[in-house]
Amino acid sequence: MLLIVVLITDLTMAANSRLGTCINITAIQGFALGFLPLAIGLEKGMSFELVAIAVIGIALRGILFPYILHRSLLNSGTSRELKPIVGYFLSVAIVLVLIFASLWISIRIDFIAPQLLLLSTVALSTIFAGTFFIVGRRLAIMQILGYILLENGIYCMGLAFVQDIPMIVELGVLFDAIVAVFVMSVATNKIHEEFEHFDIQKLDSLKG
Amino acid sequence: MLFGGFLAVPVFGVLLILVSKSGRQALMIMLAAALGGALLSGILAAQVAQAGVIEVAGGLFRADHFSAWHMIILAIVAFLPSSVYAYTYFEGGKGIDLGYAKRFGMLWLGAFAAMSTALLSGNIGIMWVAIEASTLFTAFLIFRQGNAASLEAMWKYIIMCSVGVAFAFIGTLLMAAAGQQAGLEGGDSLLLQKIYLVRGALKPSLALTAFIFILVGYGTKAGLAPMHNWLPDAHSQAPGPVSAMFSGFLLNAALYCILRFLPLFSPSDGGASVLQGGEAGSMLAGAALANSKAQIILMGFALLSLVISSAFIFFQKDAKRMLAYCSVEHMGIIAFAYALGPVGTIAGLFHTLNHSFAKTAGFFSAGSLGKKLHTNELAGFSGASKRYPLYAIGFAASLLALIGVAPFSVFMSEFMLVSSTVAAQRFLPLAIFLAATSIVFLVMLKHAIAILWKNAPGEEKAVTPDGAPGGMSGNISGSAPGGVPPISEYLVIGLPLAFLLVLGLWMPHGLSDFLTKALDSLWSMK
Repeated sequence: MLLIVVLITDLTMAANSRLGTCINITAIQGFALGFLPLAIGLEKGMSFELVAIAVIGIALRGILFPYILHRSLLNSGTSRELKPIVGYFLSVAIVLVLIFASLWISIRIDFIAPQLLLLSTVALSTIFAGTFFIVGRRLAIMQILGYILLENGIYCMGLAFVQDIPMIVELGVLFDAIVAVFVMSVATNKIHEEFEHFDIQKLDSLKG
Repeated sequence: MLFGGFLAVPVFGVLLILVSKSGRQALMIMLAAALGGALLSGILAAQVAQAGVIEVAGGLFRADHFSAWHMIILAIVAFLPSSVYAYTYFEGGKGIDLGYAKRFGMLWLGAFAAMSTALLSGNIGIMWVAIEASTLFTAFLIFRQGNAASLEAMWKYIIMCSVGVAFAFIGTLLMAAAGQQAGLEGGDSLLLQKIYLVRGALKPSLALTAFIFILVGYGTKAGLAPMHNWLPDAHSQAPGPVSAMFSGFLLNAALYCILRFLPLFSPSDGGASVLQGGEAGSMLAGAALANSKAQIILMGFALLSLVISSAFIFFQKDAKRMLAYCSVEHMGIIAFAYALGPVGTIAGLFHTLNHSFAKTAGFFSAGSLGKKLHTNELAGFSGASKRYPLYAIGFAASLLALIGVAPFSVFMSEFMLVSSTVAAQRFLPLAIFLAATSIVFLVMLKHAIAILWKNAPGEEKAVTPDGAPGGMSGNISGSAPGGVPPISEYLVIGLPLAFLLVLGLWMPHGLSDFLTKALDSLWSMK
């Protein structure tokens, strides 16, 4: 159920041009992912670590990331991505293809238990979709959202492939993600101050 | 205790910088913390030399000869001189405002803490966290207020390296999954040592997929082609000391992480015992022929880096960009050495040291020269030896050192590399290596000569048969030299070059001994 939410958020991201909505979509995805450890806990038995990771995950992915991004969006005064490199209809189609490709890959990977098949499909397709947004969108904010998607996907992948990652590593990864998002959004603010836009396509003075 | 120090010193430094009252104070504290880090790494190396492997927290943190060697290069060869240079570059805090000085000092120390954590962790998850943290700390060091190009370089750096390093995390997870399949439980599957012990049971296809992700991911940060695009931009736009630190160690730290995974693919029987033989002859004979797929892939990236960087150096007009591509080339050379397997490892270890010495000196002098002449164009540098002898001679000498001119020790390590390639009978890579390095040799030699002996661009017209007056006016318009450079600049530019000279002529016994042990500790995890 939570996983289906994640998949749907991937798709709606592709179709949406309003940056504010896109940020909210990642927030929903963050919430869904945050509850994932709890869902696992219900099946395998709750532990303190799972609850802690869920709480921290929800706080960061569901609340803090969107807050930071909304703030830098306000600073910039931009509200939509007008001319994406890849059009919206095509984007949805590409993300759909990516989801099926991930399903195919997940079936091919032989060490994944059948009950984790959906989780690994979601993981791979979110990773692919994130990478796609980083290359397929012009605005810096969309690239940050792509990066968040990529991180979310990797987090799912960790749940699918590896059991019992030590808490310290898990927290370290989350901490890095939050700092990365923070640094990137400060950078977009600077880009906006300096250039009066944050169209990454126009940053092309350094060559050779 | 000792491990805690590597975190405690920078953290303490950052706290002090927070309350510092002037730019000068902030930079002084940064300098003191860098000195502390250098001392700690010296102590660490001494302890490792005596006791062998040091482990704490069940292998979560771990130091052996291989990591101690890199730790020394990080703290003493790259970081301390860069900090001293940063102090003079910002004119002891006079050239910058307080906020900038504070931010610079804190990020600078944060980068040091992150890189030393990456080197000292025996857990591949923590290693990843530390490398990603070092990207985030260093990103804002590239940025200079009011400089649009530096912002562009910074954005490129954050996005490329974060995404790249995210791929390395996928590789890390896959490797842990492979470890769990091979029978490791829970958190053990992230401990390098534990994975190494079960390497015979790893599923080859899964482990190799993991390695490719790790290689591409960390390779982005290490500046291996074709993932190097961020590197020339970041190096050319960042302030001098930052470029020096990037080239001097940040790249190596990422490369170190890749290298740590190589032994997981060495044969699980026999390979290690060959290494223990100790005698060079038997070692070469045994290990030369065993090349794992991981090594072959690494070799591919190494050769690509050599070819691409030599092509870009050929057409390069900007001094700092040229040095940056030169870093791509040298990362290629180091990766090449390790890709040969244990045979090339000593050359690789030695070359890492030499490259860091030469590259920091190179960026120091290029940075100062660029600041004084208000240009980074190589054409603008020619003839600079008359006006700024220290910087110009330092720059030219480090160019000569980098291309491997004989008395410098880069020549020695490249020579070792060539002879071990011949011993390993890898002639095609050798041919590509020689072709690429000779192109770089010729091009950079030309630039070095221009800097030392050519006339400055303004003077060129003046030296016509008409007479001397033109030459005089050239001198006046070329802005009077800004006084004598401070003694610390003589030290940070002169000392590395002096070390390169000494090491090129004489290799102390203790050093070669340490290198042999580092080779052992990499390939057989002892």
